[in-house]
Amino acid sequence: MSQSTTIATPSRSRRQIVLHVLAAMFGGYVFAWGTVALATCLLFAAKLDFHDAEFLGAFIGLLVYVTVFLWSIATQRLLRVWIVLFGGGLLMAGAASLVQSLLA
Amino acid sequence: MFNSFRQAMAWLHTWFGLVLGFVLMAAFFFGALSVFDREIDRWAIPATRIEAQPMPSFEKILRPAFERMQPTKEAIDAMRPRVNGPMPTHFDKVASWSAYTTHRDPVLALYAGYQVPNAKDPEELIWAYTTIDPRDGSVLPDDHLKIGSGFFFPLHYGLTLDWKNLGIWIVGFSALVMLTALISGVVMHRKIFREFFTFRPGKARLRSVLDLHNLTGVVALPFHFFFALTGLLIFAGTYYFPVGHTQLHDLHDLHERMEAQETGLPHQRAGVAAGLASVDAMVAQAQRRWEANDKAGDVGFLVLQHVGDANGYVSVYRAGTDRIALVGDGIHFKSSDGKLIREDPAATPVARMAEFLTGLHLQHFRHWLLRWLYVFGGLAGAVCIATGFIFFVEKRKRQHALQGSQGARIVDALAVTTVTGMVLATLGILIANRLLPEALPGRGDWERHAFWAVWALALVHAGVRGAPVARGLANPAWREQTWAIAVMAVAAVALNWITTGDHLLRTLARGYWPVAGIDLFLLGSACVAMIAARKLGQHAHAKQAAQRENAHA
Amino acid sequence: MHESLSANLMLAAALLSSLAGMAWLALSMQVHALQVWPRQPSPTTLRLLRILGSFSVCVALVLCLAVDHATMAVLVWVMALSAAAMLVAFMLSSQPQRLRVFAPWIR
Repeated sequence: MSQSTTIATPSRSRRQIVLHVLAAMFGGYVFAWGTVALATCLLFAAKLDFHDAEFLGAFIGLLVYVTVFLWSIATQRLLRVWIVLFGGGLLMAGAASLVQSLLA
Repeated sequence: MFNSFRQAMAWLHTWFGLVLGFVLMAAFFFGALSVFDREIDRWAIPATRIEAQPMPSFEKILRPAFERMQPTKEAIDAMRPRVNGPMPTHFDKVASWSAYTTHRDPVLALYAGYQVPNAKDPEELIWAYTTIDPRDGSVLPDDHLKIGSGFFFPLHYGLTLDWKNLGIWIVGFSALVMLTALISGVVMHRKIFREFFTFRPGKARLRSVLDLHNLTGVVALPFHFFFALTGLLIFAGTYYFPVGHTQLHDLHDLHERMEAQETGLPHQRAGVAAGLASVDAMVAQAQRRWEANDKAGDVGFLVLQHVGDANGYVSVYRAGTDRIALVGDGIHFKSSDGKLIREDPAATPVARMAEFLTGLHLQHFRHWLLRWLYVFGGLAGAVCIATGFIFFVEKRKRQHALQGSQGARIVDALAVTTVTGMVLATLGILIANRLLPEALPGRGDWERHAFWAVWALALVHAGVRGAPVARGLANPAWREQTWAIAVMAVAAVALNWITTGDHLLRTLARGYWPVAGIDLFLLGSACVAMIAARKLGQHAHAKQAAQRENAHA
Repeated sequence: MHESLSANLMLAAALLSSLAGMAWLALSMQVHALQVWPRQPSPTTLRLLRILGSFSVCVALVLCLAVDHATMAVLVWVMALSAAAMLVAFMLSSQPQRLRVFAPWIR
């Protein structure tokens, strides 16, 4: 087993790890929720059956959660992760409520 | 934070894999057992060792059984905080009666949902459950625990930790981590195609354990990925991302109203009492319609909505025995006069995809080869996780021994508990099931206690025997618990014989595979455990002999 | 799934086809060919084994589709390939010479 896959102790503090992990877990969840909500609304607005929209929305949301989770751990830019995940997630959720108010 | 993407993935795979691996072991192992949940039920409840039964007559069997059902005292007490005012002693506004069966069910589970007067949420329902023998409608006592479908199955998706659905959340998060572990594993494993068939048991321990971890992970990669993903999808709408019930509640209601209008299936009660026409006639009509569409089949799901009301309707669904979808081809009738309201049209492409993805996980289809291949996949996943733990410990125990750290010892003890300990707990509940008196009140609770007690004992044993790990050596608990598995598996088969008379020669001669299959699997496991235990013993002796030689040299 | 004899025979054939396919694919790799035969087979032989293996894997799919609804057949096929690959890996690690039976024309 070569050197480049050995588990290297991160060069910065433990605080960094905690912040990356928190971003991945909770920021990821907020971003995923926003994705699910917005995707569901938009798909329903595009005349998909509501339960179909919910399912596809959840499917997309889960794949997005996995992706941003990996990104949060791998990236060097901690601040960007926090802003994109929490901010982006809330924005998408807000947009979903907006779409809902237009439809319902 | 990390020097490269690969390093980051390696860190993620190692540490999240380690922590959530303990939960994933349970999900994979009990998920594998759940493939044969109804067969395990029959082993555990000898009174149900009959042939699988089709959906029985509503008039003769189901209706009297439904009418006798009422929620339990516990359910009523649990509902109290959600009600403003007095609670009735008898619930009589039935929201729905339903029964679901597959080609593997000897007994039938019935569900009754009742409206709750004065509830804070007007859509609140209180539920009653019962299990009956479909041949005569007799009720199964509800403290006969269905060890397969009522214990192992909920354990695999929720750890039976029901407080605020905490267990479901933990398993859900671990499924997410599983997906990231698979992807990060592929990123880390640079020779994934070259080493596809590679397993070198003769090489150094660290190398051969890693080979096995890679082999079991890669060879069944589609299985691992899809089961984690579909598991998450199944619970996404209800638990993990319940957008339809919360943020998008208005859209959900809009859809319900639109659907009720389009389909002619009323969403609410009319408030006008009405009778019930012959449901058996409706079922017969449904079966004729399926046959006319070249889809002759059995009834899988029968639902009566708004029972006793003018808006009541009966829905008959075809069992998906021969395909992936759980049920389909629903046909709906007006309860009061049996007139056809609607024949469900073909599913939309998205709905078909949803049926495929959920159906492939829940497996209500009839296909014995595919079921056994699923068990293989589940056990491969369990081996992948177990070898992951072993690799983690092997890699660090010498280091930790030199540093005087207890880390490797702790992880090793937890690994023993989660691998051999979990199997011992499983055997423990089967043995308790055979040993406890038939008429013991709360028998199901005692069986559950036995399960957790054996597991706790395994943890203590692994911890106490684990001192050598802190010196960089192997934990003898592995070998000892493996021997215990062999002994207990044989004991379970023997106890089945002694307490029910259903020994292997008899069940095989009768062709009663549900019980014979379990006994054979137990005996097979005992053989595997014995071989493994002896190998571990040989390693230990070899190590001891080498150490003595070193001491003399 | 019809539990007729012909269905079971076809499924058995699908399993065998999966096993042969995985065995040929494994044998088409230099490192495993060397485990099984004393001499390294020629690159042409290895390529032939790879083609044979891929073909056999496809035949397995066709057999699965002949027995079951497409939604189930695909799952049976994928899982059969996984099990076959595992079996081949264990054979390679314990008794590699046994795999010679899949290509008896190679010395």
